[in-house]
Amino acid sequence: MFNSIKLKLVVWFVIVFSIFFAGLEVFLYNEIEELTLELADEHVHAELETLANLMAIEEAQGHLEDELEELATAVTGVYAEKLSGHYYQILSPDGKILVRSPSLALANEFLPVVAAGKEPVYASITGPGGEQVRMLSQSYDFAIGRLTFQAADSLDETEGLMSSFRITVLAVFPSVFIACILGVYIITGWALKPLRSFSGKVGEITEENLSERLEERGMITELKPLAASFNTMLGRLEESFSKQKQFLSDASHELRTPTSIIKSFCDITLGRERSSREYRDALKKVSESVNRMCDIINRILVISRMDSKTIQFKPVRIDLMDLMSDVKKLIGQSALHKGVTLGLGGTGVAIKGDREGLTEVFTNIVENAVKYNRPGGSVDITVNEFLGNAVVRIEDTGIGIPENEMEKIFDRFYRVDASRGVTVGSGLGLSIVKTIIEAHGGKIEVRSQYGKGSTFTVSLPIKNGNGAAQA
Amino acid sequence: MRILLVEDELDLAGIIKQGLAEAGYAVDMAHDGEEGLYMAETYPVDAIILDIMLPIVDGIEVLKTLRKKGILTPVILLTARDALLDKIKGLDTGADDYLTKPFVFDELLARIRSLLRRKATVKEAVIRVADLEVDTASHQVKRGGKSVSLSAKEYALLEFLAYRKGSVVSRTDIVEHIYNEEVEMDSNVVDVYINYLRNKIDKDHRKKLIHTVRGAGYILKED
Repeated sequence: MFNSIKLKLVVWFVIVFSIFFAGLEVFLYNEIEELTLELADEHVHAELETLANLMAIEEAQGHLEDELEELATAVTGVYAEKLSGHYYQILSPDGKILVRSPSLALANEFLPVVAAGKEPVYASITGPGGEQVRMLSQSYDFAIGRLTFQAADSLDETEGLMSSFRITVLAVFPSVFIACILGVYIITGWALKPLRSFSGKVGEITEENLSERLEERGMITELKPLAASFNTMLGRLEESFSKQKQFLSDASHELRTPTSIIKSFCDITLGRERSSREYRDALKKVSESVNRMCDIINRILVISRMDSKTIQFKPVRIDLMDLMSDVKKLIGQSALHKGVTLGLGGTGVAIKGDREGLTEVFTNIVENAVKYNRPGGSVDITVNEFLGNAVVRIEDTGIGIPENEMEKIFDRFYRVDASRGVTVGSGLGLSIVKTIIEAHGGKIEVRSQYGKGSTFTVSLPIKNGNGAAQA
Repeated sequence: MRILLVEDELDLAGIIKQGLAEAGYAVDMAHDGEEGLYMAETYPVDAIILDIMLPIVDGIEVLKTLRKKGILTPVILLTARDALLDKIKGLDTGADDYLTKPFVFDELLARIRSLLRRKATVKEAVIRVADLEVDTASHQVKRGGKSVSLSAKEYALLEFLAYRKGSVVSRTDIVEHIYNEEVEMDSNVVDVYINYLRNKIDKDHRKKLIHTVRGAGYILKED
């Protein structure tokens, strides 16, 4: 829930929007407050100027004293009302109040006295009526000395404006806020719609229809790369799936023959009473088939472990000449039996590799070379060094491999003898051989002339160790 | 009944042959497609058990060639593959039945019986001629409700006659269908076995069922 793009977008928008909106409000509030204060200042300044001008005119006419008296009593308008919010007072040079507006006098209040020079001094203070006022004090020079004029105007109007501004903002903000959240919520939902339909399409693809792909045409730009990589992934998945399927079907196919033999022997032998000799013969056949199955299963295990890369090769220093003479000893008996001469020559080359794995490799190849040979034939093994590689060549005078089957011999379960009536081994051999060699960073090549013999060439890098370590 | 088994897996072929022989069939064996084709064309077999994965010529090819040559012997395909397409292909090529390895041997026997029945005029597993009952599934024979004990060869001969009840069967037919190629048979042996059968089936009954048709052979019928 908290991991939804929609929610995150809404939350982020709300945070950003709140900060921005609050900032704007504060800024506007300050601006307006400053503006209204300026207006109030101008207003009070104009009043003061009027007073001062009046005084100057009267002084020029020699009626200053009268005028002061008159100012204190006969003024009309806002100045005449008690605590109307519009006040003035005039101070003598020694700070005594000469005159105050009737609005002050009627309430017997004064403006706080401020000693001011010729420059205007503004101040926001609490006025005589307890209200907020803006007061200006300024001195002017007259013949009788320096008079200080003070005028004050109530800020009630400004206050009213500001408070109504505040109320408006506070009232509007929540509704705008909610409207915005709703808007963002709807817009996000709308913007995420293609994503939803995308995920719907992806959800429709299962192992049953892995060959389907997402249609990239007409898809919105932002989702195209996603669709493309998803399709690539599907391709890889499909490939590995079908490989797995093929492997499974090949493996079960291979297991069917020995299973059939076992089953038939059991069914038929158990069908009636038999002599112990017959039982023994049947059990012997069953046991042979079981051995064959074990062999197939072991090889399947090796292959699947290699596929999942769980097999650990232990690279050690191996002299290939030693290894090949071990292999020769291993195969010697069956070669003798078949009447095939085994030859080994060349120079000793040391590499780093997994002894067990490489023994498996060469045993397999030499075994095949003997198996598919003819009596009186030969298998020649040579070990050499060539361009930084250890090269082992196994040349036989056997039946060879037909050209159309050359590509297939390294396939799992392929048996070159499948069409020849000889059925020994499971066919996993050369596939394992190739996998082990590649895990050592090497490669295997085969040349063959059908009917004349085959040559397998295995080359393994001498300065290796990393290849085997990685496997 | 004579059956040709074409299977390249020697152990499997051996034990199936043994099982079939014990079930009273004469069995010929071939280990590759070419040999199988030759034998199917040469010997008068009643059914062919044909593996698909065969050396030299595969089973489907063998079947195709046979049908092209007009040889309509019933064929049961035997294979390690159970892909639906293979089954369809096999049946469309002209196979009469299909069995996937590994199979239960009794099922193979049942399918063979079913194929043999299809060819014959009788459609039931138990063939009846008057009060004679021949149960082709259990190989039990009864005459007048009483069980008759027969040797494998005697049973095979009776079954062969029973499948063709009401028709004349020549001695050569009998020799060819009751024995496989390994047995060198003199058709006089047939007379010997017919005598054994008569002793066990007709001897104690007034109504004789096995009749000799002079110059032609034998017939199993009510009158």
